This record gives sequence, C-alpha cells and structure tokens, in this order.
Amino acid sequence: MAPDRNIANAMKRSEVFKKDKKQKRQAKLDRRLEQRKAERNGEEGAELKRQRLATNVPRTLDNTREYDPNSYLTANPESLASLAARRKIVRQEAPAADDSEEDDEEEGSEEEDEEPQAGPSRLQGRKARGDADEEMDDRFQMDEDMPDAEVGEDDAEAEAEGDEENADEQPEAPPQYMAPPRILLTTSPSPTKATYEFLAELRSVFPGAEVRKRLKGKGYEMGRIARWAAKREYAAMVVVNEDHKRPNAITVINLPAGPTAYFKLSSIQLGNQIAGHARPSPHSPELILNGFSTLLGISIGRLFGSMFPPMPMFRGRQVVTLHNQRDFLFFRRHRYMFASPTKAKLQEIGPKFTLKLRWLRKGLPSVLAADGVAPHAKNADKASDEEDVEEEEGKDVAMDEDKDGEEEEATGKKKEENVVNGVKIPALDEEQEYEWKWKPKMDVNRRQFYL
Amino acid sequence: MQSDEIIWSVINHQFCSYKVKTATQNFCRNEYNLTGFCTRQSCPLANSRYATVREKEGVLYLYVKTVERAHSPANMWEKIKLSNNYAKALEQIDKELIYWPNFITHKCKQRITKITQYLIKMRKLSLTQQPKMVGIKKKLERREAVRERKALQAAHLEKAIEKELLERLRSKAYGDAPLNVNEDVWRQVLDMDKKGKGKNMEMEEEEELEMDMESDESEEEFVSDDEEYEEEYEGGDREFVEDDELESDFGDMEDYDGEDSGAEDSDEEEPTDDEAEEPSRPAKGVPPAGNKRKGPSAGGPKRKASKVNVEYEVETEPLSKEMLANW
Repeated sequence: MAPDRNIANAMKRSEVFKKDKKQKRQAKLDRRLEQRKAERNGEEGAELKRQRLATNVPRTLDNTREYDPNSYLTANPESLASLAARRKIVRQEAPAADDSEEDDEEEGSEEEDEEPQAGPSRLQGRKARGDADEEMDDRFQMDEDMPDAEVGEDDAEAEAEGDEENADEQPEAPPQYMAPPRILLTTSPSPTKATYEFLAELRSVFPGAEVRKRLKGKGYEMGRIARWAAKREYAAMVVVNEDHKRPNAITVINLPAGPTAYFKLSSIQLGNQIAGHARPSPHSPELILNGFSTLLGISIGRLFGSMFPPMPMFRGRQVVTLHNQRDFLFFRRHRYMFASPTKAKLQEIGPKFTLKLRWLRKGLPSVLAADGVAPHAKNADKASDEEDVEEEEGKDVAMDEDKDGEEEEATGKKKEENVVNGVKIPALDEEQEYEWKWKPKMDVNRRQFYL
Repeated sequence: MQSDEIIWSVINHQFCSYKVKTATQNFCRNEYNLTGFCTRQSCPLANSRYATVREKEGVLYLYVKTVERAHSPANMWEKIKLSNNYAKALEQIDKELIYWPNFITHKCKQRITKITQYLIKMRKLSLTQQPKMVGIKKKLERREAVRERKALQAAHLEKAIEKELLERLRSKAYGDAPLNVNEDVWRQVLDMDKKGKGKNMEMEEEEELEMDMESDESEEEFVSDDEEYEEEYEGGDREFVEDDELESDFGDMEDYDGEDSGAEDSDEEEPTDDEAEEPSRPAKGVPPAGNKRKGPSAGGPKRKASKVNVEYEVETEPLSKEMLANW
C-alpha cells in the first residue's frame, strides 16, 4: 500500500493514507476477533481451530529440510528405511530354507538396516513418536541389558534382544547402578585459565570423568595418549582445544577403537555465568538426545550416550541435553521438577555450550611426524610404543593415584597384544579415513543438514 | 673494473634495492650478506673481498667471492662444501680464509654455529607431531554465529526438554516407583493412566491444544496456567468436587497428610472416589459444551475453574483462622 500519488496535496495525501491504513488494521482485528470467537465455540470451534492450525503452518528451515543423498550416512533415514524394507521383502520371498539360528541373525541385520526407524526415541527427533512408549521401555531395557558402557558398539544386537524381551515382560528388573564409564579429560598443550575452568565444568558433567594435565612434547601426542587410555579401559577421551586463550574445539574419541569426532566449540557459558543457576550434584544425569535423524547424527548421539552411565540416578533430577537443531548441537544441563503431569520446571545448572561437527573419523588419531612419517617403524611399533607409555606413566606420577594396580594389569595385558574387551587398539601410525568431513561449501545450501 | 668506494657511496647515499630502512638501523636483504646489516664492512656488493656461509638442504657451504669474475655474476661466487662435523667445518674456514680480515672469518664461524643449531632444532621438531595451523576465516565465523543464534531460537530448548521429560514420566520410563517425582504428581499420573487408555488419545489432543494456546499468546494462556497451578496443589480429579463439597475435600487432604507413605492405600481409595463423583458432575451443571477442550479430567472445568478458584480463596480464610486457633 503506497500513498496515492494522484492526490497532489501532501497533507491530504497523508490523511487519506492514514485513514486507509487504519481501516485495514481495524478490518484485520475484527477478522481475528471473530475468528477467535468462533473458535471458542465448543467442539466445533476446536475443530475450526485445528483446521486453521493444520493449514496455516509456516515454512521453516526445519520443516523444509533437505538431506544429502551423497552418502548413506547423511541420506534421508526414511528412504533408507524403505530401502531396507524392500530388501526385507525380497529376502522373505526368497526360498525359506533356513534354521532358526539363521533367522535370528537375519533379524539382527534387519534391525541394523532399519536403525533410523527403530532407533531409540531419544535419537529420533519428533518424527517417530507413534510408539514412543515402547521405544522408551525398549531403551531402558536395553540399557540395563548392556554389560558395558559401549552402547555404540553392539547396539543393534542389544536392541533386538530388548525387543524380544520387551514383548512379554515389562522392565521390572531393579535398576543396577554400575560404575560410570571412565572418561579422560585433557586439553591441548599449554592451556590457559579459561580452558581449565571449562574443563572443571565438564568434569562435573560426566560422572566417570578424570581430568589430566596435558604434558608437552614428544610422547604426549593425542594418538599416544588415546592408546594409553584405551589400554586402561577408559571409555572415551575428550580433548579441549584452545586458540587465542579460549577453548575453541573439542575432540571426542571413543575408546578403545574409535571413532574420533572433532567439534567446533562456541558460546560457552559456565555455570556461574548463568543467572539463577543450580548447583550440580554428583548423581549421574539423565540424557536427552533430541533431533538426531540421519545415521551420522545417530552415531554422534551414541558417541555422547556412551559417555554417561547407562542407568541414571533419577534421585538427582539432573538432565543433560544434547539438542540438534540445524546441525548445531546445543548442550545444556538442567535440574527438573515435575510440578504436575503436564508441567515440568527446569533450572539450569550449566555449563552450556554449542558444538558443531567438523569431522568424524574412524579409528584413533594417528601419531605422525610433521613430515607425515610415523616416528617408529611398524615392526618396532609395539614394543617401543609400550615403553613410551610406561615412561609416560612414570613421568606423571603426580596424577596417578590408583596407578600401581593398573600397571600390573597393563603388564598382564601386554601379552594380549593391544586387545581390550575383544577390540583391537589400532596401531600407532594407522590413519583411517574420514567418515564425514565438513566443507565450507556445505554452508551454501541453507536447507541441507547432515545430522 | 670493481671500485668498492664508488659502489658503497651509491648504496649508502643514493639507492640500494636490498636496503631496508628502519628508524634506528638499516638492514640488508642480500642473501650473501654475512650479518644482515647495511654497513660498509658487511656489504656483499661493495667489497671485493667477501665470504659467507649458507645452508642448502641441510648442507653448509662456504661462498667466497672472486672479484675477477664480477662481469658474470652467476659465476662470481666460489662454493666450497663444509664438513658435517662442526669442528672440522671451523677448521676448514680457517684454512680457506687464511690471511683474510678477522671480521669475515669470525662472522663466518658465527654463522656456522647458528646454522648448525637451527638444523639440529629442525631435525628434532620433525620427529614430533606438530599442530596443524588453520587460518581463521572471519566471514565463515560470522555466518556460523548468526546461524547458531537462529538455530537456538528455533530450537525452543526448554520446551523441547520439558516435553521429553514429561513423555518419559507418562510412559513410565522412570519405573513404577520413581524417585524423581513428587508423590502427589505421581499419583495424578497414575490416575490419568487409570482413567482409561481409550482416553489417552484425547489427552494427547489436549496437550497439543495446550501447546497451541501457549504459542497463541492469548488470554487462554493465563487460564490454563491457573489451572495447572491448581493441579499442582489439588490434583486434576478433585477439582470437580471443590465447587460445593469443600469440607469433604479437606477431609481428603487431611487423610493425605496422615498417610504420607501410604501411597498404595490412597491409590485404592481414589478410584472409588472418582466413581462416586463422576455421575455427579453433570448435576453440578458444568456445561460440557462450554468446555473448550474435550478432555475429561484436567481440561474439563476450564472456564469454571478460574471462578471456582476465587470462591475457594474466600472460604479458605476462615479455615486458616481455625487452623491458627488450633495451633
């Protein structure tokens, strides 16, 4: 609506313009009031309102999202699921001459295929809420079943088991509080105060976390430390990177055999910077993983899921959230209170920060020299590697309290040739490929998200 | 013919492309310069007699100027390989530059020392893993910061978390006797469950409506909030009774105070209460048509609830006095 240029007099023109505008506004208000009145009118009104809301859905980046079809990791989970279903049909049509054992196996593999559909609800976002209840039970059941914290490894099998058991019995098993997965927290070399403070907060988030000072120089490369930790049965290792005296990135390594994920870290707020924050308690928190849809997203979710104890201590009423929105992972920690069956109150504990995945890589970080050559020859690798590790241990005596027992363990393990929990620790110079890597050109399309 | 004085006068007073002028001192960029300073003594152009030490791919060479070849600069420097052994290299310098000015031999030896030191350091560094340097891209960072802000707004984090938690609560994910729920609230949840799985669907619709209303930002929001607070204190079912039978309800409350731990007992009692009250609902004249929501329990007395609340408060005053008297 522009002023009518045919009216020559400026005063008159503006007067007419204002009047017009007022009229329009009034008409709009009337319309909306009428609408509201109509919608208040009992069930019909409710029906009207439902119709209006159903048709009047704004287009957002989230509901017009596109998937990247170039990799199965980032492809649309529904299309993958339909693919899997088709394969299933084909398989069923195939001659059914198989034993029961084979049947089981097949089931397991199908489970894997359908993961985007049948995955735990916490990884599912809001789409697959139809049978959320079952899934919830499922998940908890699954968690109880898990002997170890490595949820990511044999999740599919466990899920299958959970399904079978869930069919006939409710999750009545008493919650078993097992030791939380051990996590090694450390920094990049020569960190500053800000990083230490952040690390302290992270320490309070993960129940099984240990902070260790990162020593400088040769023998303290990330890959070497990761292998050292893997042998001592740590479940994960987190390295906070620092730039310009501020933490700027996080590397999360699942032990003993990877994968390794590298995240950009931004908008950090520690607990004490949050107004009205609560104090953390040592209870292990619940975990909410929201909005992860693709296989890549689910594996990232699992990476974090495996860092918390499978059975939370609900008494603490703490909940850790990792919410994926447009590939940004928002980390929050709250204390909650159920005020009524329809209302929960939240108080933030902190820290809060945002992660953005830069790359995901198989295996552990490799130890290569600056010129791209491994410091040790492959043959000599094992022995020298372990010597180094022992040296390392000797050096950081200050940090090791429960070291003695472990050392014996380690010496016992030596004979088993780098195998922890049946998983082989990759060799020191073994560099594995990127499963996914962020590129600047990925930002061009605003509707394409990968997690 | 090479005439050093003329060259130096030009370099010093007019122009030299190797010269770097600073406030305190002039430097020289010529690769053959011994010291790096722009002085008469260490100028590789204005000295017929000149020698320097340079490193090429980890090997040290002594470069000696042969002024007779000044007409062909490509061949002007005689290149002598120095030994890897530091002491031997020094000896070599002494031998090659015998009878040369002390300044040049001394500076050459100093250069040998410096170069061997940095070669050793380079070799050491190449054995360790060095961090990979990555450029900072301001524009990218800015763009990501903006997108992060917008994503955060779109996430409605607290709402999403609350929703997930409530879902876990209602789906009994916390077990049969959850430690993280208030007893009253848990009782309400159980009641809601008992009210029938057939009505579950309606409950969900109700929630949706509630959410809608919240997003609508209209008056209704306040109403619903009020109601929720009521729920907090008195429970969804008992609400209906409070209209008329206040006393009996308080009796209930007292009962609850008495049996704090006896959750099972109250569970057993409540359904009977509900059954008794349910038929009385229409009699009390709560108009079903007036309800915005179809929900049976919490949503039912929507319009009524706010009015009821007022009455309730009026009548609590004398009660509180009684309480005071009792105390």
